[in-house]
This record gives sequence, C-alpha cells and structure tokens, in this order.
Amino acid sequence: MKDNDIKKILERLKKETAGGSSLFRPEDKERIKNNIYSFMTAHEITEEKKKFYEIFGLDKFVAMLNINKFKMISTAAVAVLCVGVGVSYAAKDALPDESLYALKRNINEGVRELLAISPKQEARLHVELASERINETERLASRGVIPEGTAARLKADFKRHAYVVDSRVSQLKSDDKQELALEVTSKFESSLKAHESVLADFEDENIVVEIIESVETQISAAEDSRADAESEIKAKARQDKKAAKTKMRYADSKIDEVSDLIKKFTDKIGVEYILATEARLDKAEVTYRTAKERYDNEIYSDAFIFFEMAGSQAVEAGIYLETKKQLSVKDKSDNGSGDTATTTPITPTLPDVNQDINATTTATTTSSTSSTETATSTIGSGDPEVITAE
Amino acid sequence: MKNIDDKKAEFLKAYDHLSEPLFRRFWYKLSDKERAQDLLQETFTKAWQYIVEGKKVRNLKSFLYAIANHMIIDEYRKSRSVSLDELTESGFDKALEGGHQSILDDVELNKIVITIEKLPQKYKEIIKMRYIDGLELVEISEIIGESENVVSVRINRGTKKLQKMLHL
Repeated sequence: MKDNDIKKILERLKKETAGGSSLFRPEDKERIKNNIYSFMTAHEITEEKKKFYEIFGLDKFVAMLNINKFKMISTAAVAVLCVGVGVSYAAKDALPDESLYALKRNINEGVRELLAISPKQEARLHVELASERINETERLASRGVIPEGTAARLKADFKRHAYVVDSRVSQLKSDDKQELALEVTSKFESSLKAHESVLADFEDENIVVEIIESVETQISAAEDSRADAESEIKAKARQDKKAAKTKMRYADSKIDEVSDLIKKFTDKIGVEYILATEARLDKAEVTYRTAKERYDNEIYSDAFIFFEMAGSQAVEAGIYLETKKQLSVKDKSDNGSGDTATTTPITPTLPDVNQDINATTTATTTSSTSSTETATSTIGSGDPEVITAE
Repeated sequence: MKNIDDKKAEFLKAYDHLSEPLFRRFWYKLSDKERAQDLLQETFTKAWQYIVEGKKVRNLKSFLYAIANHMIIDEYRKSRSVSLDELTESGFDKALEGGHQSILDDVELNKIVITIEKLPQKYKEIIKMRYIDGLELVEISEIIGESENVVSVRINRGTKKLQKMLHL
C-alpha cells in the first residue's frame, strides 16, 4: 500500500466518525448549553471564594519555602565536603565539545555516582544524568549541527543511564518497594516526555531523530514500568491516609513551583512556550482533582497513585519550561545580546521533596544545585560507554 | 483582569467550539449517544465547578479535554471494573484494544483504530483529535499548546509510524 493510502484510510475514518455528529443535533447542543448555563448561574464565582483560594494558595507557598530551605541546607552540607569547588562549578555546564566536559563527567558526576549507594539513590541519580545527556543534545542542537561522533556517544551514554535506572527500578520492585519504584519511574517518564517535546524542534536533524527514537523507546518502557508499580500498589491496597496525604503535599508543591515559574518567565520567553507549559500544568491540576476525589472517598491507594501522577505531570511542565528558557537565553547570547552569566543553564530536574543527594530545585536555586555536582574522583572507567577525557 | 461576565462568555464560547468534537470522542469511546451527551454536559459543569472553587484555568480548551479524558477513564472504571493501570491514560487505551465495542462496521477502519491506540502518547492524542474528533490543526494547536507546525510534524510522523505498525 502506498504512503497516501493510509492518509486516505484516515480521512475515511474521519468521515465515518463525523457520522456521530448527526447524533448530536443542533437542538441537543442548545439544550445542553442551556443546562450548563443554568448550572453556571446557580454556581456563580464569588470574590469571597476567590480570596479564600488565594489565601490557601499562599499557605501552600509558605510550606513550599520551608521545604526548599531544608533542601538548600542539605545541598550546602554536601558542597562543604567537596574540594575544588571553583573548577568543578565552572565545569557543570560544559558541553561535549568543551575542555571542561571530561571534568564534568569524570569528576563531578563520578563522585555523585560513588556517593549513590542504595538502589534508590542510584536510580534517582541516573534519572538526572540521563536527562542531562538529553539536555546536552538539545543545547548542541540549538547551536547548529552536532558532530556525528558526539551524537553517538551522547546516545550511548543516555542508554547506559537508562539501563541503570531500569535495573535499579527492577531491584526496588523485587525488594517490594513499589512506592519508590513508582516515584522513580514517574519522574523518569516526566523528564523524558518534557525533553522529547523540546527535541521535536530539532527533528529535521537526522542525528537528533535517532536520539528522539531512543527517548521514545525509553518512554514506553517507563510507562509500562509505572503501570506495573501502580497495579501492585492498587492490588495490595497498600497505602493509608497518611501516605496519600504526603503525596498530596508533594503534588501541591510541584504544581505551585511550576505556577511560580510560569509567572517568573512570562514576558521573558515566547508566549507559545508559556501556553504549552500551561496546558501541561492544567493536565496536572485535573489529575490532582481526580486524586483529591479519591482521597475524599477514602480510596487511599488510588489517591496515592493519582497524586504521584499529578506531581509528575507538573514536573514535566516545569522541566519543559526551564529547558525552553535555557535554550532561548542561549539563543540570545549567541546573537550577542546576553552575557555569559545569563547563559547558565537551569537544571531541568525537579526532584521530590525527599530527595537527598540530588537536592536540587528550580531555577531560583540554580547555584545551590550546581554545588551538588562538585566532586573529587573519577568513575565509570570500567564502562566502555562512558565518555572519557577529550 | 477578566470580570465574571467575560469568564462566562468565554466558557460558553468554548462550549460552542468543543461540544461537537468532545461529543464525538465520548460517542466513539462509549458507543452510547445518551451517555455521551450526559458526559459532555458533566465535563462542562465540572470545569465550571472547578473555576467557581477558585481554580485558575490557563488554557480552557486544554483543561476541558483533560477533564473529558478523566471522565472516560472514570466511566470505564465504573462500568467495567478495570484495574488501576487501566485507569491511567496508557492503561486505559490498552483496555480499549481488547474490549472496545466498535461503532465502526468497516474491518479496515477497526484495525486502524486499534493500532492508533498503540501509538506513542504524543502521536496518539493528536491523531485522535484530527481523525476521530475532527479538529483542525489550529484547534489542536490551541488545545495542546504547541505550534501548528509541531502539530503538523507530529501528524505526519504519527501517520508514518501507523503505516509501519500496520506493515503497509
């Protein structure tokens, strides 16, 4: 069958399903509209309710600040233990075609791999490192052509990090730590989906298309893995009210963080990116509502899972926006309108409130994030796929 | 800042634009005209309820689509006692592959519909919006918050993937 045949079939499908429209007569449409209007009239928006909501939102914001404060203290403690802070800091944003890249990979990331001991820590770290490899691809692609060898190494390294994530998640599942497995796979999935959207801008490049395909494959794997963990949690009705409430706070804080990011970046980035982020955040908020309904009906395992999903959807929105902002700042810098300080990338990872070693946060705490990457030794020398000094 | 009357007008305008595509989606998923109309109404009343409670809606059309998708998930959960992984978007779509009572008589079209459900999420949703809900590129672009160019590229890539999966 030729290429245009499938298009013909799809057009036929469109025509066929359009037949459904005949079941939705103009009088039905008008009747439902009237019902909706009556409902709206009976449920008016009042200023009191609006104010209450805003006060509630402020409370959540204050709570979030306290969490971030804790994160910053943890981050500072790790930073104090590290040596060579200045050089390591300078290397944190290096790209594969730059001299500091070997330092970034072998020292900064190396020591973090050494510090990650448990399957949970390793899984979380490699989620972040896999995202970093894709982010490097995005930054290189935004500059122009990526050398073939560099693209191949980035792809191989991405796959290595993804493999570590998969294997540590399997270990968590076999240890019956389904909640942790769910947390890690959800985070990985949201990061991959956000980056997949960003990479789509560069899909004219054949080399990038290959990396997009690897990311797509990994998204499918992460979705399956997440669904498995959800089934286990659901089947055993493992979660109680307290656990669901903790996840609710997590989802709350992530939604708030991204709302703040949107406010912060509005007028500083293309409106299309703000709209795309808002669409993602809306999705997270709808999922949050579903979770809250389950919570109110005391179906706590369901609520736990949906709150996790809402948080992850918000994280996806945040990573997408931060990455777009990072790349747009870079564009301006390349055009000679920005200084080097403004090109500092924003770490595209929004970890959960319990994250310890990788205690990073949003753009507002970029400097503290960077300090977690300082390190003193090398790693991965036995792994043939690790990028070495250039 | 929009006043309440503006918000109401915007909301009803969204109904004018989206009621038909959303009805088609509900009808296609549930094969039940009455239920599809009920869910359509419920989608809008639920959305309005959220707004009344103070929810700031950034992209109304996207918000309505997200609610509609959750309504379908809930509908399946109530009527078919599906497991939780089937409640999630991907799991739900997997459930459809086996149990969906198709509204389509044509074998070839049924095969296409089942295969669309197996596409990666980013292609699946857009292809469904285009060929099942009957939305134009510009409308899809508004709902998902991506440019028309991105929508167009994804439809082309999704179509190619579909063709490959069908071994055409």
